[in-house]
Amino acid sequence: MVSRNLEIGEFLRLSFEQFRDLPALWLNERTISYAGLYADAAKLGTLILETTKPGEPVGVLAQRSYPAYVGVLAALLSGRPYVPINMKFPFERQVDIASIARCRLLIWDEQSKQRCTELLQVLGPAVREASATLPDRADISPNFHDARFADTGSGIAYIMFTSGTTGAPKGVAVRRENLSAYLAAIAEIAPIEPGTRCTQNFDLSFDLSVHDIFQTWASGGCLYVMGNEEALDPVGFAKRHALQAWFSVPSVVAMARRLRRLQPGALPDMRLSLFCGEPLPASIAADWAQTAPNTRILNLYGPTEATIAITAEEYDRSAAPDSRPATIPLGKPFRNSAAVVVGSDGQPAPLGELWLGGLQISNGYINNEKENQAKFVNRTLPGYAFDRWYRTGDLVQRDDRHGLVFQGRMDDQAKIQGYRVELLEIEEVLRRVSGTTEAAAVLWPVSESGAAEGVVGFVCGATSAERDIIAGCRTHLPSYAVPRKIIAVDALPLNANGKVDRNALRKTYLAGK
Amino acid sequence: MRAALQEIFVTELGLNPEDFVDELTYNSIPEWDSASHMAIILAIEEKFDLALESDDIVAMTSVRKILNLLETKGIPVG
Repeated sequence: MVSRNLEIGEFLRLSFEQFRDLPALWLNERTISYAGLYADAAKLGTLILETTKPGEPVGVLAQRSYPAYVGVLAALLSGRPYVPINMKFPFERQVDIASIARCRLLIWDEQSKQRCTELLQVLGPAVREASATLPDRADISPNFHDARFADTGSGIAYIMFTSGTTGAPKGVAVRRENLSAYLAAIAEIAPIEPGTRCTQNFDLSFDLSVHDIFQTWASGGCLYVMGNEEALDPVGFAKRHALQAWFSVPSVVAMARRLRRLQPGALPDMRLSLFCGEPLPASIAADWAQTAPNTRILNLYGPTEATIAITAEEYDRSAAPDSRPATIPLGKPFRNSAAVVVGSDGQPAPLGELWLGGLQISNGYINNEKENQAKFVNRTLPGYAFDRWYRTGDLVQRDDRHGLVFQGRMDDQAKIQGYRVELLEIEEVLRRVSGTTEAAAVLWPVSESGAAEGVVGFVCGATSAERDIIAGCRTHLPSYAVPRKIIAVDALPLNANGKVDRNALRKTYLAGK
Repeated sequence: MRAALQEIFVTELGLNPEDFVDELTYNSIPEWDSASHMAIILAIEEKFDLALESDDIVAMTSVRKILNLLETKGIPVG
């Protein structure tokens, strides 16, 4: 077993050596071994070292393709931050992400080649491009093979972009040591054996993909990547390949249930199932337990700012259904982390905002001091050794029986299909494209379990037509955050605090539809 | 059936009616991704009172393929 105390680059190199003959990646009906993947990462890594300076990020404009995985691995082993740039995002957002992160190199695949060219035209000559499938070369850099030579610059592992309240995405810079701390913690709570066949359900731009990729490769597992069409039936894909470790948002299972894909005993090989990204309804966990009768089920919780996930609660198969809460609690913090409920007086309390501290707390947002000051605080809390805290904005109750229980958001952040969005960002875009100063974004439809599947826009006094407003939103927002329809209203109702009353809009215009 | 399917696409994907053409394929536009595909499938099942198999769901990757498949299920194109 490779020591967990090593720097992440050295740790992964030793893992790739230890598991060299095992399969690391299954993609397009083809299996690639750890040795084969490492050899390709070394070629690309040498090019990365030649074209970028320490600390300069590498954009990965690739998805569900070999270049995507080689690109991520090569960047991390070269000591450079990687920045996933989702091909499904609008062009303007891709430009924002590459610019804010200051990417110096873009990795493309066949599907993104044209888009890469278009991006480079906007980003200018300082940004280079590379394909991840390179011819063999004899001069692999010794700096790639030996982590002791690696200058990791700022020490950033990756930069993940999330929705920002002002209309521009914000980049969370996660350090290499944050990732090491996460991988060590998750290996204790939810270990997998070498050879385990693991899902890869998440887009690279969703930080839960970092778990998929690096927990698998840190443990000798094999990452099973669904093709575009296979992604329409993830449960069928897991069944066909007898996958053993599952990770998704609960919505994926909810959707599979609605499509009658959850047959009892359908996934007998599954041993470990993790859910994260949105609350896990007990009914979904119960159905999954029937579908995969031999699996452990864990609910994970954590924002991108605290590196993938930071608390866990195991679903108890033997508990009587009546004794379970309707939603699986957030559980307990990982080792070397703390999760504290803080009241309005800034002191620990039974109900309040959840603050997170410890080795997984990231550097915060790049080039965004205002948000950093608002969200990351230096404070001593009685009984805790950590003095830097991330304020989650999650309203949480500390319950003696169930641990930490999610009660809702304290601001306008929301989840749509498990994706984190700021309703204020959608409203800002709505105002910009509709020619009005009054706009509201309301989550709808919402499933029985309370998970939002989409969003509807309300505008008052708009000068643009509905279809033009939606088209305008599409050029700024990811598809899941684009309003499904626009409703023109005479006035936006206000609540007692003088804010737009989204519940009233939902009840008046959407209830029963 | 064509008009009903068009309505489903317009509602679920927020498309303009004229963008609904036989050549439209899954993943060719950002609006038709794996999540919205499921919404389309559920809407089709409800509208035409069908229970689609997983092979059907994975195969329904273009408007033309969906129309053909619905026809084989006895729903007349019209």
